[in-house]
Parts: sequence; structure tokens; C-alpha cells
Amino acid sequence: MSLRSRLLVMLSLSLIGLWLAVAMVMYLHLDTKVSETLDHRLAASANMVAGLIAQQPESFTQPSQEPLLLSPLSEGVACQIRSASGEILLQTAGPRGASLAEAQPGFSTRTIAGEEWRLYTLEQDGLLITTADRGAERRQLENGIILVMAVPFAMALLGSLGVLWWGVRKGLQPLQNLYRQLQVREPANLKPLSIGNAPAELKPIVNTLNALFARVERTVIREQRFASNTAHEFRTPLTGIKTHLQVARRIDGEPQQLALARAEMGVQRLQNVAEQLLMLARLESQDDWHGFDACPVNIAINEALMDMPGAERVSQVLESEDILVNAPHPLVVIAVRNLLENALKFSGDDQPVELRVTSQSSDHQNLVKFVIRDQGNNPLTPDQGTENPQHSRLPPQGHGLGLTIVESIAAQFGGHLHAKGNASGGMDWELALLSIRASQQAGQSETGH
Amino acid sequence: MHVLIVEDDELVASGIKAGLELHHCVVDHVRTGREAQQAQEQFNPDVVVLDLGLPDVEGLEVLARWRAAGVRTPVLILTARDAVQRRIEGLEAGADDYVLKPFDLDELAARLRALVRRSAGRVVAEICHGDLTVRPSTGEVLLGEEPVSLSRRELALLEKLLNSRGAVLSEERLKDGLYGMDTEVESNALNVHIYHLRQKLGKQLIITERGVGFRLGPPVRCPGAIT
Repeated sequence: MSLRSRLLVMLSLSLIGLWLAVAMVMYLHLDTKVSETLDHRLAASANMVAGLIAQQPESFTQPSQEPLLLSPLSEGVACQIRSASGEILLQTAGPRGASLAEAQPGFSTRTIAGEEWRLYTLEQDGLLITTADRGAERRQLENGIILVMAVPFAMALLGSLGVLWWGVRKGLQPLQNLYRQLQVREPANLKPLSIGNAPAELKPIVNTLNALFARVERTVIREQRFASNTAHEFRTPLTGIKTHLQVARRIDGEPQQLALARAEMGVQRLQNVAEQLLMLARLESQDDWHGFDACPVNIAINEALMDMPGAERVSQVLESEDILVNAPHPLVVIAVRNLLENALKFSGDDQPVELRVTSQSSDHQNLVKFVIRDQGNNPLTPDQGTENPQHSRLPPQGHGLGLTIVESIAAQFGGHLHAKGNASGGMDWELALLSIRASQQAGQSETGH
Repeated sequence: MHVLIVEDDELVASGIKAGLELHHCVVDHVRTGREAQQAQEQFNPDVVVLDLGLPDVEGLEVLARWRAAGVRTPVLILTARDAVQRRIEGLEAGADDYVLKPFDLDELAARLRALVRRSAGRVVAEICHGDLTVRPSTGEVLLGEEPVSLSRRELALLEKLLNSRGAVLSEERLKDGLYGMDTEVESNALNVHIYHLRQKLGKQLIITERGVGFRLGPPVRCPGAIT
């Protein structure tokens, strides 16, 4: 059962129950009151007759030969006047009158000819005056009054139920919209939900869901990009190996040796890709990097440049060597080396690459920034930056994964990787990582000891 | 068949180049979109093998520019990324075929020949011109029933003329198609090849349009055949 139906049923039943209880109380109260009113009317009638008798007492001193016949228009009322000795002085015609004999003073109920009658007997000046109402007439009057009360009551109840249904439906419309949207939503649809003017209670749900969708979408895109990059990294050297082996099979001599040598180069690249993937897998398992020592910047750079083809083209500008990177030493070396290799390959054979290391302190953190400036082909205009460096340029030889590794290292150790175009037509790659001053660490160590 | 390879990966490009040369193709290789633009304008290759991930500009953008400029050269896209969306984008941008890395060289060569054949308005693999039959896939040349031995350049020149549908081809265009951009060409090299083709297949095979270039002559008949 839907929430709306449940709410409607619950509220309707409560409303109907409440209204019925009120109606019952009112009915009982009204019934009593009407009965009392009619009794008062009966007593008033007897008093009125007594008043009339008091004005002409001589007419009632002697019993008449034949009681005076009173014939009121309504058959639902009767009256009898008798002496204290029980002699009937006056009464209404027919059984109505005769049946009132021997009624005791006060109110009483009597059945006459199968019909219930309500009697009131007043004793005054030695006379007993009895007035009577037929029960059916009283009941009819009571029912009439109750009907007059019940019709608008029932209409009000129905109206209330209608308003309740409309209110619940209208009030739960945003929830219904959310339900419909989620029900028809394809699993692959990660667009944000929109349910119009969401109430305050639903806003956190919608916002949370939309944030979740956005996060899943980013993850999916990142995974797709990673899968695409990995496919590229694997298939490209594989293509080189396959084509050169196919060529080598059809030729001989020196060209064959050249083709085989190139196929071997492809195998080496494939091996590098596999190693990079393993590195990424290790990066995702953070347990491997617990309890590391901070890494001195100058040592990390020297190790990154060690045995690197084209390292002589790298010019270094270190603003301060007294900086320790707050990340595992091997990872800092890998990150810097990947960025430098990337820059060297994109800068052409004779173009220089600049590595500038700066530090930046703020109230809450210290950063060391490795800015690698190349002269390569740059799709971005100067100063146009990107948060997705891999989108800006996809190097051909293994750097799709290389950049993923650098990004992953930066993300895991509180840093970031940004890329932006520079004025010389190349790109500036900025790797920022958390840092501490060597002097600070020495101080901390001494304090610790 | 003159093939322009636009591929930034040296290892892959050298493999394709060597492989296509074994399939009697004349191959030029460039690494960037900018170089591809220049090469296409300069050499007007028969077919282009275009890698999508170029360092300076997206391969699809290069293709879109060519198509916008009215370049009708068949283009085969080469990519290591197998996302369907990329293939659709490539084909919609004007690519004629799509090959996913890694591939078989024979298949690549066959696809390239099919593209060239279709662009020349032919539906069969053989090119016939009178009694002359050329099978680009195997490099076979038959004059009547007799096989004729041609060098790679002579074959490429013959194919170029047969695919030109009688249009006059300038000397420069023929040279570019034969030698590409890496080879130093002697000034009379083209004339030497034309001379050899005429010697082997008949003097009327290639007609010289003085001051303009060369065009394919009337259908070749076997010596001694009844006309």
C-alpha cells in the first residue's frame, strides 16, 4: 500500500470515527434535550389547562352528565380532568381520553391501544389534570430535529473527507513525483532528479540523491577514462609488436632484425605499462604506505632524473632545498619522473624543460609545488587551466597511466595536479604535495626525544 | 597506392609503414595533425590512415577540417580506444572505415585497397584497362595472359593513373604520390618510370600532355591481338 493510500485510510478512518463519536454524543444529548423539551411542553399544557380551570372553577365543581368532549386537531395529544375521587370531569374524545384514567401525578409512560404515550398529571385544587403526547409524534419530532442536524453533519463529513483527500494528494505530490521519477529511472541514468518545488523535508533527500548521482557519474567517467587509457596503453605497444612481427615474418636479413628489435621495444613498453598498473593497484591499497618518512625534495628530484633519457635538458630552479615532502619517498620520485618524462617527450628533441620547486605556506597547511614547464604542443591557451590534466593532452607513450598515477599520488597525500597552458605554447604541470620544513622536523624530533 | 599515415606513436607507425610497403604501397608518415594537414595538401594521397589521439589536435578535428574543405580522400581511422561512441563520432565526422588496434596488417591493407577502389568507383579488386589487368592486393600485372614484372614505384604509378579515370595528373602530383616526402627524388625519376611502363605495357598506355602532365591512354591491347 502506498504511503498516500495509507495516510488517506488512516486519516479518513480517524476522521469518520471522531465525527461519529461526536455525532453519537450529540445525538444522545439532543435526544435527552428534545425529550425534556417535549415533557416541558406537556407540563406547560397541563398548567395552561389548570390556569383555565382556575378562571372558571364553578364549571368543574360538579361532574357533568357527559364529560365535555374536546377534540383537538392533532390525534397525537390527549387531556383528562378528573376529581380527586377519580371522577372524570372532562376528557378528550375516544380511547385517547379514557385511557388516561388513574394516572399518577408527574410524568409517566403508558401504552394505549398498542401505542406508547407520554403522560403528565398535575394536581391542583382537588383536580387531577392529565395531558398526554403520543410517543410516535414525539419520536417523529425528535427524528426531524436529528435529521436536520445529521444532513449538514454528513455533508460536512463528506466535505472534510474530500478536502482531506485533496490535501493529502497535494501535500504528497512532491513525494509522488520522486516516486515516479525513481520508478521509471533507468539504472544508467545519472542525471539529477527534479521534482519541482521540493518541500523542506524532501530537499535533503533529493540533494543527497543528486550528489550521489553526480559522484557516481564522476566515478563512471573516471573509470571509463581509465579503462580507455589502459586500453590505449596496452593496445598501442601491442599493435607495434604485432605489426613488426608480421613484417619480420615476411622479410629477412637486416630489415628483419630491425623489425624484431622494434617488436622488442614494444614488449619493453608493454612491460612498463604492466608495472604502472601494478603501481596503481598498490596505490589504491593504502596500507602499503603507512609509516613513511618525509622525503627531501632535492634527493627526490635527483633520483627522478637519474638515468632519464634527456635529463640534461631539464633545468632546475629550487627556491628552497630545506623542504620535506610529506609523502613516501618512492612515490614522490615516481610522480616527478612521470611528469618530467611527459614534458621531455612533448618538448621535442632539443627543447628545454624547466623544473621549478616552490613552497607555499598558509595557516592550515604547507605545500611544496613542482612546476614542470614544457615547450610541447599545447591545446590550451595560456593561463587556461584544467582540473583534468588527462583531458588536456594524452601523451602517446605510456603517460595516460603515468598521469593517472601522479593524480592518484597527489590525491592520496593531500595534494593536487593541475595543468595549464604557458606563453611559450607548451604546458605547465603543477604537482602540489603537503610539505614540512626540514628544520621543523628536526625540532620536532628533538622535542620528541 | 599512396598511403598517408597520421600516427604519433613511432613504434606503431614504423610497423604499419613497413607492412604496407610489403603490400606494394608508397607510404608517408606524419606525427601531428598540423603535419597531416600539410601532407594532405601537398601530396594528395590515395588514402589516409588517421590515428585519433594526436598530440596537437584531435584526429577527428583533422578529419572534420578536411571534410569541411571538400577533401574526399578516403580516411581509415585507427584507434586503441574501443568506445562505441568514438566510432560513431569518427564515422559521422567523415571517416570511411574504422580499425581497432591491434590489427592484422593484411586486413588493414585489404581495407585500404577497398577504400581506394570504392573512391575510384570500382567494385571489384582487379583493375582492367583493355587487356591490362592489375591486382593491387598481390601486385600482379597481366597483359593478356602474360604476367608483367613491375617495380613498386612502377606499380604505384600505374595504379595512380588507372584510378585517375583519365584525368590529367601533374608531374608534381605523380612524384608526390610515388616518393612521398622522405625521399630525395632525381628530376628525371618519374620520366624513367613512365618510360619503363611504356616499354613493358605499350607506348599508348600513358599520354603526355605537354606542359600539364600525364594521363591514362586508351585501353591496352596485347601485341598481335585482333582489334
